Amino acid sequence: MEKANQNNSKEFILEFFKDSKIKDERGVLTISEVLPEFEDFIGKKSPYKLVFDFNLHNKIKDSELIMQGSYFLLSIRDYLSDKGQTSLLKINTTPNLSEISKIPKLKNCKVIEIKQSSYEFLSEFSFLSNYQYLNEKKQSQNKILVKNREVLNLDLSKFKIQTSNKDEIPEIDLSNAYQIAKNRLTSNVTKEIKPIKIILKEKLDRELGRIKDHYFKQIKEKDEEVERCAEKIKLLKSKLKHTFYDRDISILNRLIRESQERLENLKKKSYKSRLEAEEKFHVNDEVEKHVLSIKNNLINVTLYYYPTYDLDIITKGKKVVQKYDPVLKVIY
Amino acid sequence: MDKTKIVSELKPQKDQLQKTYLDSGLKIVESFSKEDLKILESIKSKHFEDRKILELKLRSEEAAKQSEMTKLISYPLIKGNLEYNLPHQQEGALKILRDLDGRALLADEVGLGKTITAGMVLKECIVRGFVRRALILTPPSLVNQWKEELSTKFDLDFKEVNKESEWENAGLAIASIDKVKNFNVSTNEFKHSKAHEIYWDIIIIDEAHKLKDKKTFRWRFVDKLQKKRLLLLTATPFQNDLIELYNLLSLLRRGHLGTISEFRSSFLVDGNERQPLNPRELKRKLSEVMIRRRRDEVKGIRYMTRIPKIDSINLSWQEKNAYEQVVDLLLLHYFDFKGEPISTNLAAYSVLPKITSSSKSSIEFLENLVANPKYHKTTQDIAKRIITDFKRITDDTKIKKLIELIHEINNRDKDTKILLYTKHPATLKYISDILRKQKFKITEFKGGLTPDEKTARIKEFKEKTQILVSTETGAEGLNFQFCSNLINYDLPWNPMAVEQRIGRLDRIGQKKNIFVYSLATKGTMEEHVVDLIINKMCCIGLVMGELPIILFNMGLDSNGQSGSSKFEERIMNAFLDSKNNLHRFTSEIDKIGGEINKGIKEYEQTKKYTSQLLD
Repeated sequence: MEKANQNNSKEFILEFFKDSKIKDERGVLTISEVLPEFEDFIGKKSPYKLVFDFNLHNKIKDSELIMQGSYFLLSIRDYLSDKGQTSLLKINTTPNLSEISKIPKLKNCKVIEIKQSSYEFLSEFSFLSNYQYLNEKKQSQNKILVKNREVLNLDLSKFKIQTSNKDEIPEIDLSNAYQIAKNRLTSNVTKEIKPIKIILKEKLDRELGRIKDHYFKQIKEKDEEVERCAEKIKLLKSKLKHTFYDRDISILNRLIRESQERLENLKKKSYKSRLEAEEKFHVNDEVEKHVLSIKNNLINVTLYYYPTYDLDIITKGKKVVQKYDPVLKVIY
Repeated sequence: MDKTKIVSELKPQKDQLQKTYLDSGLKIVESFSKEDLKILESIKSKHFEDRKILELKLRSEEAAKQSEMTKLISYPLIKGNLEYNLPHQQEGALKILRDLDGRALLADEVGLGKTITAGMVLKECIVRGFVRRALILTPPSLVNQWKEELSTKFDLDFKEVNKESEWENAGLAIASIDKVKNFNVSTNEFKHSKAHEIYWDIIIIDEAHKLKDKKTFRWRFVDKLQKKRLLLLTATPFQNDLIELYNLLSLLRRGHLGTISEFRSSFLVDGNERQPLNPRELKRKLSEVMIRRRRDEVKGIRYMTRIPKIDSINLSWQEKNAYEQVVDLLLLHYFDFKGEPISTNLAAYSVLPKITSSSKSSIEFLENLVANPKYHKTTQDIAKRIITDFKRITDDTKIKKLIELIHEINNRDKDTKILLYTKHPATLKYISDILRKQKFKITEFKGGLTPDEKTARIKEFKEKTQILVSTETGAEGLNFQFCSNLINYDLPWNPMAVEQRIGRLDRIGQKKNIFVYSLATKGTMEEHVVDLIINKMCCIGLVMGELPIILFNMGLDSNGQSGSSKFEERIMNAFLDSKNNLHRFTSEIDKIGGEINKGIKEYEQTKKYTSQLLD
């Protein structure tokens, strides 16, 4: 697992610095001629000596250890964070007559001409969601494809992509599509966090159980103390009724007075509300400690566009024009 | 690399659209970034980038994704700053985060580097993005040491909070617990109650054994802090009885040991709060929240002995006469220009250390006095006379003794290095000039050097010269474990400052026993102070870090009314009260020595008691 991670990290580094000079020698990647923008961002001029092994890192002076989540990789991630946020891709959709003829809706029709019509648009929202709880962090990526207020479940990888030209498209407002994507993301996230919620809930319940039990017992102990005190006073008072010697009366009176003072004291301190407030504080502390934080970031929006076609069709002896969407493969 | 940038997790998260809700009791905070809208704007304005960057970006997210808490991903960032790799420190930090959810009592024995372990926890949490607001509460005398260690070893810049208004902007805050726990009886509130309004991601409390009593403001102040993670550091979690341990754990996990009645009936022998009823079960419960390692079970650390040696100097009659005259001037003829006596306290604190340092710094003080119109003519005339007397002195006994001492050290080991300390820059220059004339190879080290100059001089001392002559402000925070001789040409009357001096040498990596030489003038008050601080406090076999705990326990580690340390203040007051009567002064010093001895004994007993239960 560790080795696989190291290989992935190395491949990624090679890809990231592909336009720089790279020397790979005895486990040390020396990267030079790096973009000044990156050097400024990271606060260190190249060359960078990158190693992927902890023991080697100890031996090579000024080397940077690259491992999953290491500082250098975090820095690259941060450097890229405001880059590559928007893309425009044109889907190549040269319609195929025989394929069109197979569409059930055109079963008894004859397609006589196919003419390129207007462009259609698809927007793909790529979100990164970070889940943080206790001392753990998890991450998920979601790509959500939206067209005309609908989320599509469509694999675009089977289409060919051709050079796009932003002059071919009008000004597009994706606010609505973004809202739809956000809603879908929220629903995806809800599913993804289910196992995390189970773990957290179990832990939280355990901690809250401890606190509640503690305060329940504390209040009970105090209540019992009050009860005992009241009982004692009652008992002493009843003894007093049957006592005739001055010395004993005086002792009993003193004991009653002391117990009454103690009882007053217990009540005056309003232990119940104090303990309840304390319990609330600690319960809140635990709830905060077990909070699940979800941070969603839109990292890219890719706008796909492709031409649709007008089909001249002869059906029941009549010529009609129908629109054809070659990506969704629908006639409308 | 500029590691102060750390990672994006530390950036303020203002650009978030946040929604908070409860889901079957679980609090969920979900947010979207406001930056999203900017991306939509870019699309609208037809600003597009190469799609390949997205692929690279997704891979970067994958590569940067942090692993589970099985190792410290921040360790490579700090490794270069740490002098040694001690595995128990990393293991401890991992255990605290992974197994104890960041709420723990770290009760390692003194000398194992609890501060470093706590720093590792902190750094890891910050790098992983778990912590934005952190608070460290320490004894007053350790605030600066903590700040320095966090900065030099962990690249973390903690801001000291002194006033209440400073809490608001304190992301990474450090404060003296003695200062912030103050309670205002008239308003029935803590003076620093603002600290209670903040939700802290982590709180670290050093020398937490002082939180043993539930009824104290100190305990109540800490209990009211809202915190996600809490680290209590102490080698001795209880001192007198097990109720103290109960109180400490109540801060960590309320009810962990049951209610106090349950604790008493389950864990204490009836009527004896020191005796555990069921030690095995108590130990098991403690292991759920506590980490403790003993020195003898940790590999890689060798503890060296400090060997004290006080070299008494017999002043010539001329020197003694000049010294006595300056003391008399201070106590009897120290007037301002109106003829009013200048506070002797102030004089003692600022002047006495100078006149005990060297004739050079005495003369410097007297010359300043003569040139300054704020002093009375009588005072200035006396000062002039003493200067003349000083200048007649041809032999400097103290510097002669120093040269003899260096030769003696060289006879023992000719390749050894010497760290020579003085408090005063004037004395430093004087010593340096004389030692150079004597053909000793020396490096001067004082305050005001740039970091590059400091590095160059340390290198020079390590590679070329034999003696580093330094003031303490110059060498603060530096490590000289390759040197094993320390000479105190003069001695601060504050044991913490002396401990700091010795601490430059007595650290992990020191391979030899450490000789602590101190020069003291025979038959003067200085001789007794040096004996107290060196022989009865700093060189009695305590491990580095134990003396501050003892002074903290005794309430002697903070500053007194004069701003000097309470200990120093007591000695100065003894000096003033003695009216230059050595016998009276000595008996007061003996009294202080007795108290210190009692404090040390109590501490040793506590250690023994702690060890009996926990180890």
